[in-house]
Amino acid sequence: MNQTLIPNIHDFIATIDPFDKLPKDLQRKIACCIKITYLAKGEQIHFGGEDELRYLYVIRTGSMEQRKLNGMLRAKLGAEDLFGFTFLDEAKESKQEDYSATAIENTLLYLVPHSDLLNLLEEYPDFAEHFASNVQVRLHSALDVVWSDSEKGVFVKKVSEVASDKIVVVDASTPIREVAREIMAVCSPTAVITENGEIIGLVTDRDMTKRVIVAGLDFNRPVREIMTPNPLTVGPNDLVLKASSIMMQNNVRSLPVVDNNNVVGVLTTTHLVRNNRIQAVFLIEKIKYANTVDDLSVLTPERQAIFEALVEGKVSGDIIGHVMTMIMDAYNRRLLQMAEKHFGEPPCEYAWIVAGSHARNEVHMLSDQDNAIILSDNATTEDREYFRELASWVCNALDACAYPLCTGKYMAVNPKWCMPLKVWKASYSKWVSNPEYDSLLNVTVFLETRWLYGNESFNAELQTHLFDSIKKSSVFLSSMVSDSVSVSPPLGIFNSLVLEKSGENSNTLNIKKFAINLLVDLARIYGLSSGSEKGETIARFNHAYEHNLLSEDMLKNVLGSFQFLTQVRLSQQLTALKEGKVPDNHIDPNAFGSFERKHLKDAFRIIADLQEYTKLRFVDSE
Amino acid sequence: MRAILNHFHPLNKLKREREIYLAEHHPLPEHIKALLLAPLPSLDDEIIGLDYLSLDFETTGFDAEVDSLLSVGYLPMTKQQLLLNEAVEMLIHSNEHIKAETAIINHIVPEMLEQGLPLETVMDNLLNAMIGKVIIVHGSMIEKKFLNQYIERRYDLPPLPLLWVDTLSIEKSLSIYKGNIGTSDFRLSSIRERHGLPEYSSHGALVDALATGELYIALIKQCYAGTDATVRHMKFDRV
Repeated sequence: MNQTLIPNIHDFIATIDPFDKLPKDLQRKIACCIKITYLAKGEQIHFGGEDELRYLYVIRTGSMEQRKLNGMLRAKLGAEDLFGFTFLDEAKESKQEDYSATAIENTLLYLVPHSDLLNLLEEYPDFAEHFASNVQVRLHSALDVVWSDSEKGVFVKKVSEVASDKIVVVDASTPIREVAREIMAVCSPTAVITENGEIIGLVTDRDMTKRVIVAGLDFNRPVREIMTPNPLTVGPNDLVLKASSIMMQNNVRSLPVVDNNNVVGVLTTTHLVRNNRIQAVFLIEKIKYANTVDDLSVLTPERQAIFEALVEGKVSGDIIGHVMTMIMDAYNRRLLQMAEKHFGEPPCEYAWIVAGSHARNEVHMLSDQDNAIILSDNATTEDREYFRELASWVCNALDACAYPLCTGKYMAVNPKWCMPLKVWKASYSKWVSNPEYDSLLNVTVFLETRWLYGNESFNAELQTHLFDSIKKSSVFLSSMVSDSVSVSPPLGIFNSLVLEKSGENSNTLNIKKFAINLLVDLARIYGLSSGSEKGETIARFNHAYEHNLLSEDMLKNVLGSFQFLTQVRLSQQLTALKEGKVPDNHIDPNAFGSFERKHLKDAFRIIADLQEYTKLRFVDSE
Repeated sequence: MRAILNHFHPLNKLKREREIYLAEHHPLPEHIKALLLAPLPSLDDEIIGLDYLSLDFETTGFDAEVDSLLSVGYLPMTKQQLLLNEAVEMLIHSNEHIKAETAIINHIVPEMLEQGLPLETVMDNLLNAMIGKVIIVHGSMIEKKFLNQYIERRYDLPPLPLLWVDTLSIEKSLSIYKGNIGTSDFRLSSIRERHGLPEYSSHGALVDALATGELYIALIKQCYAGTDATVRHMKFDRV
């Protein structure tokens, strides 16, 4: 007998993730092997013994909850949610789920037999990843689906995709005239100079003009005499973002692309313009040459346009954070230069440092300013007055450039945060040894600092002092953990009937407070306890993994969640900006399709797991 | 005492009717014989665990004497699971003119029926699928009348002593039990809505058979909530 299609079933699964990613005929085949059952409220699914068939479960109507064997809530699920992926994991020794699933309302459930699904996925191997048992693989494929490579901006492309392969490579002894001819013939603006197979220099067409024609040099001299020695290079697999920041920081216009000491191409600013609809590089140039606060403040719409292009271009959240941070750095540095010009040479050495998300390279459109000044220990009272004025000018100018003043007053203009190095050190020592609530709040803001301007060693010294103090303290990390795990992720957010926490904001979720910050806090704990020098959330987790504080599996889950949550938050901000609204961190759970809902829930669950794990590791063991 | 009660249980009455039917009418066609010889559930079996066949007919009207069968849809339910991979929907071949209003209700147009199967093939398949199953229908009158009519026309046999359950009558007694005497909307979609089951937009014999099957599990779980109800307590729909 032919299998008969039931259109309702097919239509239903065709709309929900991950089935919506599958071709029609595969959807139909899956629909045809579904079994349907109904659970009365309170009924539990038995993930039964050996002879029981195993299933992927799809909730058609109703709601269910999953609890771990110790009774802890794992997830609350509503219509269109799926569970039972663990069964598909061939590598997992025990195919038993390590949780129970109970109907908390009358629930109509669709069951896709594990064996049928595996057979079908063998026919369609390209789609198997959508059903991976592993949350991280699913999150990863989620990111890939929403943010396809072809849509990504030039910054996340590899240098090899953008660079020109028209390149002149000449020996250092070659006469200048010959090099000039070759440059013309190949249409490359740059020649790479080698000696005994080693890259030793670079010559551009501008160098020819400046150093040969203008200087009236003999065209028959060897090119060695006019080259720029020890050129900076990039690898073909480096990100364009990295290359462009090297170019900006060193004020060079071309970079040879070198693979295994072979010159394979050249990247010039022209390539970036041609391929780059996201003109962050050029905004930063404009910032550098701005002379007044007004000059800078008119650039705000351009900054917003770049942010929107990055989010729309589906660039990953950490890279968006980096680009927006580079721009904010440029504003801040330029303003400090302007301020020094305005108030005169600084009377003593100082370091301007940034804190919080700015220090972590995680700036977005909602970021306010967190900054501070470390003064030289010999600063006098008058010196401090100079810096108070300077800081006041810079903070207000940043505000005028749409980097709002910090509501917590964590700014250099606040005398508390404009102190000599020895006072900073004493404060850190005090905070770390007495981690009470208030001081914990202070120290969290300043637990990540990044040097921006002035004497870099002040910040380095302070960081070393901080790490040493934390190492010596027996209570500090565990206090931080207790504080951070006191907020739980909203596991039941999508089920209006089973909302876990009520309150004024019960209809929306503050994704910063209840999700992203939880991960940022945990990353800080792991970063500090493993001595990570980098402040980025992702870098901190990676560092913790390298120091065996996290398993590889955990690391991947956590990074996947963080990236997904960041994307969600940035997309929300984009939507608000496009609608002419002020973006905020509140998301409306009802605004999400089944795709985002499922992955948000995965992410919340991973956070809860990591919190539990961290608590056991840092608190309960003492 | 229990033995006497058992004797009068509808199931045992049905058993005796089948024996008489088999004795009075032979030779019987193979599938009908198999239908009547298949073991009936025992009184101590759990209701929820029986083997069912959820069934729906689409017809040109309510009168089995003059109206005709357009399509048949059914799917089995075992261990509380409706099996879509064994779901069947068959259109019945006919050159007969279909009333416009019927076409609208059923979304079946004459062109589709020209592609259909002969009535005999469809019913042979159905009768085979019914063997050993309790049959679930919503408002059993139509299915019973058209099945009986067919058995009479083709084999000149009286109605078959089969085991039917009817979601419509279960819902009725449930709503009376609950004191909702006023409820008068017993359409399948309305009852489903009352029990929180999803709305199925499209129509057809198979979709309705599925909808009925889902409703049946929901009703059973509600009627016998928390108890291991056995066949002894079951409400059958008599022939």
